[in-house]
Amino acid sequence: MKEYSKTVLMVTHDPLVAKRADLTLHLEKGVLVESRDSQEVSAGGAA
Amino acid sequence: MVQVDGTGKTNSQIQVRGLDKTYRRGGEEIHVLQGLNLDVDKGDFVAFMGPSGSGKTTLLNLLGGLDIPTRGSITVAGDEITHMSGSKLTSWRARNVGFIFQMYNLIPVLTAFQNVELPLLLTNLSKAERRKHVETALGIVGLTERMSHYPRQLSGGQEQRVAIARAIVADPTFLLCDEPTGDLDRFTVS
Repeated sequence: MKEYSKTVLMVTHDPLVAKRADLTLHLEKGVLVESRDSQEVSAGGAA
Repeated sequence: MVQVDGTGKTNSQIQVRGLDKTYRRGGEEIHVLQGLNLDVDKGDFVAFMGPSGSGKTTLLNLLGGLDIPTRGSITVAGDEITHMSGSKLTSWRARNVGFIFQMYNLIPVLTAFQNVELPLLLTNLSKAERRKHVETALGIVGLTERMSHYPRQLSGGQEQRVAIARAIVADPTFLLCDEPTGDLDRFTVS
């Protein structure tokens, strides 16, 4: 399915939107940190 | 699989390595991004969060080739964009990036159809082909009936959907969105 879908990179403040993402990354002090919550979603989604 | 530690495989669709962005304000240097790494595969949906001023929009602008990094590299589908000249970067953007901004940036004197057609004017498509693409994009966002409306004749949610149609009309490699869901009607979001 992913092969046919478009890559999307989205800046958001809305946790409901972020929840639908494969992965949520937080910008902290100029570097990206993975959000622990969505890592689980990502692991499931990447299978 | 999205990775941020710089160890992603070399065929990631989007590959960012050691990205730095420093602004000078007065005599002071502000380090917005520092040695940032990112790997994104085709079809991934990545959300960036963080307090305002944390560099999210700067990162988006760099990924879309709207801004130039102080150091580091960005490679998209094999093209290293960080060293492209202005004109090469413009044509790369037209082919590869769909932008959806917080402000829709629709042109008020153009109809929905004409707004969506704009990015295609940078391509070699014929008028008939452009029409086909625009109709498809407006169909996807459910605005086929509103093609000849001007932005002022549309609701905020409809304007945002025109902006989405404009972003997808050239079938770009990826979409960059800056807080785009704020004005979508509840129905459209769900």
